[in-house]
Amino acid sequence: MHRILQSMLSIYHNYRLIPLFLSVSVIIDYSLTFYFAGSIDNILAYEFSPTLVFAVRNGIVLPYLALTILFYYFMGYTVLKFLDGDVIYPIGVFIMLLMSITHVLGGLSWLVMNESYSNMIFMLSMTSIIIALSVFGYEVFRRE
Amino acid sequence: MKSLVSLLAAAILSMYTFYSTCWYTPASFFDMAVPFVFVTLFGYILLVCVVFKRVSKRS
Repeated sequence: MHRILQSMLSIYHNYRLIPLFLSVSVIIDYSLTFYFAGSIDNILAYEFSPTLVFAVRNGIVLPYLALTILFYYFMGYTVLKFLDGDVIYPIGVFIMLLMSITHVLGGLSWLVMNESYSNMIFMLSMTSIIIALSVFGYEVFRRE
Repeated sequence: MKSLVSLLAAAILSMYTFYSTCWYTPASFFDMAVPFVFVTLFGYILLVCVVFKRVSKRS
C-alpha cells in the first residue's frame, strides 16, 4: 500500500508524465468516436466538436489529430512546469485530469447516445474552463 | 508572473478542450449556447485584465 502511494505521489509530481494522460485521452476519445459513430455521416450530423467536423469535411483527420496531441502535450507540460513548486500546482494537475476524463467520457457518449449524458459532458467541459479562469482571476488579485 | 502565464495557458487549453472534445449532440441547443458562453468567458478575462491594470496603476 505504501509503495502504491509512493508511486502515485511520484506521478503527481512528474510534470512530464501528467500531460501524457491528456494526450492519450485525446487518442481514446477520437478512437471511440470513430468506432461507435459507425459512419462519417453520423459524425457530420451529430458530432459536437466543430474542429473535428471541419477536419472530417476536409479529410485532414490524421494531421489534425497529430497536431492536437502535440499541442495538448506541450501546453500541459508548460502549464505544469511553470506551476511546479507553487501552491496552486495541485489545481493545475486537477484541471489536466479533469480534461482527460472529459475526453474519455466524451468518446463514450457515442456508445451511450443519451441527451442527459451529453449534457453532463458539456458541464464537465465548462467546469474545467470555469476553474481555470477562476484560479487565474484569483492569482491576479492575490498579487496585489 | 510564471503562474499567471501558466494559468492563462490552462484557461486556453481548457477552452480548446471544450471545442475539441468529441461527444454526441442530439440537440441543436448547443450551437446556440456556445457563442454566448464564449463571449461571457472572454468578457470575464477582459474584466480581470482591465481591473488588474487599474489596480497596478494606482499602486
